[in-house]
Amino acid sequence: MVEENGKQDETASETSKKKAPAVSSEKIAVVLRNVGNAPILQKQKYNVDKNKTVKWMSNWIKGKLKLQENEQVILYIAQQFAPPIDQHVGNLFDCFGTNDKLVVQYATQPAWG
Amino acid sequence: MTGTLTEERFKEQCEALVAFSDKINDGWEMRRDLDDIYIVKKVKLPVVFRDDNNKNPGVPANTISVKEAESDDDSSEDQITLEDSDPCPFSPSSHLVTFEYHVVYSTSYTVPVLYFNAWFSTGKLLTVEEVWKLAPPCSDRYSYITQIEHPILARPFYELHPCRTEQLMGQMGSSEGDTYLVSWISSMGRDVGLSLDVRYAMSGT
Repeated sequence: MVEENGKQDETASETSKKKAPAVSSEKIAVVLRNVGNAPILQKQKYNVDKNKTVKWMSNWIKGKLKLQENEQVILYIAQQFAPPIDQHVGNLFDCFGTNDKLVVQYATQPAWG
Repeated sequence: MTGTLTEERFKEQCEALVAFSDKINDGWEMRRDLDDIYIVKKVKLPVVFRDDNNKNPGVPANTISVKEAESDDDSSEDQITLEDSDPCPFSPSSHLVTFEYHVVYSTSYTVPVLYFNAWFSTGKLLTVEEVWKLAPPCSDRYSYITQIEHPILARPFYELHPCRTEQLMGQMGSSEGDTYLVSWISSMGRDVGLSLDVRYAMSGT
């Protein structure tokens, strides 16, 4: 599926300019919220390819937060549930998306000990 | 923000979880031992052990899609046997492993604790090194997965140390509500192959 204006976003960082309709685009709108002591991201809203996995998103956020190698990012949806890491974000959007977006909370788990 | 759970809430949430599991055929069972209750789930998963060179960095332990099989069979998970694959447990080939997870309440930590055992289709139990290979390389798996006596059954199980639980669950702030157990299982289990169906989060369990 090609996006309406013919441009393919490689990164997930160009969003607020164009609000792609939730149905026709291959991307879904995600809003990232920090949990507890996790650092706050400069930018919270992204369009993410719906085939990306939870694992991909965790690593991507980890990179954005510049975490250490042995720290983890854990994602939560519906404010309670850590989805399986091989789950596609598109599935999560279908189940839990509201108002055309998926709210994802992220927690960081520091190195143990 | 506390990350603990009272025993009473633990029991209530176990019952709710098992009731929902029955509806969706997810396999959780309630076990009782005098006043204690705990829940158990058994599942078979194809597992790929990462080798030390991290050749398969992106393969989670609970992956269902078998990595490119050496044979050309229409290889579903069920057809993998140890004879077909490299018997060395540190190779990147898949093994069908049976996991048995137990969620038991710890009165000293006042949180649930995850215990599990895992064995190959030959019946051979996974060694502690193999179990460590299940957890993501970025976490300090050597410290927090240890072999210990199951508090009720009194035989050896692997345990995810409860130290991490309070810290993580405290961030979620779910001690007050009914969602602690769902949050907890989905968070803690991910490192050792236990995943929770998304429908639990939709059920209000």
